[in-house]
Amino acid sequence: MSDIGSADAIITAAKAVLVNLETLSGQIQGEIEAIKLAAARERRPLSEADGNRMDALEADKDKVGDAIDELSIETLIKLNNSSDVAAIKEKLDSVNGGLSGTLTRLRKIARTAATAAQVADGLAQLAQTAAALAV
Amino acid sequence: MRGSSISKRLCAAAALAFALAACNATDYAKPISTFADATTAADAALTDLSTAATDKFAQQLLQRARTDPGIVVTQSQGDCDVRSAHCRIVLMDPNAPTQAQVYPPPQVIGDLLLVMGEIRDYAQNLAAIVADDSAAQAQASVTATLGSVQTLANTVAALDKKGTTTVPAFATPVGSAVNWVLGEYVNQVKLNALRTATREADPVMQRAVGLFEGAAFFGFELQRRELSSIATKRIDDYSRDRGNATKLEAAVAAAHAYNELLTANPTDTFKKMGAAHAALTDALQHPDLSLPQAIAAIQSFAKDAQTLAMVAKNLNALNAKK
Repeated sequence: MSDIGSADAIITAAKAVLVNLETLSGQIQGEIEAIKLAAARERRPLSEADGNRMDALEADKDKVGDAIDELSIETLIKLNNSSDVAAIKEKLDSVNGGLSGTLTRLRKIARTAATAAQVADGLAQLAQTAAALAV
Repeated sequence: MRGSSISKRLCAAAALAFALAACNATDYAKPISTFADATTAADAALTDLSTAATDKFAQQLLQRARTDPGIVVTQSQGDCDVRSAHCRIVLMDPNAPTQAQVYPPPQVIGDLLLVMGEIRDYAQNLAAIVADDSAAQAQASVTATLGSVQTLANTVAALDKKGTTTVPAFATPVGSAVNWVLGEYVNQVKLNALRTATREADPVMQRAVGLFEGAAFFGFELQRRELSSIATKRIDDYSRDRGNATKLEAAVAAAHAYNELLTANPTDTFKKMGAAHAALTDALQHPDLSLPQAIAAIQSFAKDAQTLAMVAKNLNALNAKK
């Protein structure tokens, strides 16, 4: 699971292989369809030979499908280990740190204003107390 | 004289703040909140895709363990002893011991999910900044402060036997001015934060989009392959037994399940996430020119992200039933 390159290179290479496998799968399915169409044109149900041939073709198609699955999983693992991931995460960490700092700053403005209000209120009460004593 | 000087300073500060602000952070509240929600949905979809892909990988490993005589099923080195911290099964090819695979495997795109989680947090941080009500809280405190100052002045005036009538009722007009400046200042802090963060994040976001597009494409490929295979097999089953209504219904149901999957376009969703973020970044730099385009791009992304999240969730539920 070592770093094997950039995301673009990984995706391009994997898609090229995938196209070939999907073409092959499509050709096999085409042969299966041809068997069904031939029987329908002759207005007859599928024969035992048709069934056997379809079974063999479906088994081949499953093998191609398994190869597509392996390719997909292998590509996902390569993308997960690509050189891009760590760099992107590091930069996003930094941006998120900046945004958290701004949120803290905004809350500090509210706290400072609240503290000033408490001080002013305390002073006013103190003056009223002093005034009451002076009368 | 002194009051007049304070007023002049307040006016100058307000004019400066107004010139700097030029627009209001609240204009972006709705699009940013929609973007944050859509990003959360895209994150959920990617998590579901990863879970489905990891399950598939686990099945592959299990099959290899059962059928490939060249694979040894053993414990990880140093594991499973009396004093070990862990006990994990690994599948190992004796000719390539460094490529031993832990079973069950960890999330196949675990690190990518961490990056997507960072993007989700980033979007939520943007939304939290726009929604922050510190200005309102500070403004309430300013009003309270000025009320207290006026009480103090009245008390002093009464003590001075001059009566309260000589003290100007400055709390309301000065409070309004201070609160207005404070509101503009907070607005400016918010806009600066949004502009800086989106400008810095956009190149990273576009780079991440490429990764997610690839991961979504191949994650979906696994599901597509499976549902496509089931659908064609059910149709072939019916072709072999044309009079069987149950097999016809099974073929229709399998086709329907595959068709539903095809309504979601996972790569487009992540492409739209990148486009929406680029438009938002642009709108924050040039609000008059591009806010409507940003809103349209974000809404389009949000619609796709919700569909993708729903389809990915349904797929996982389908896989769980197997």
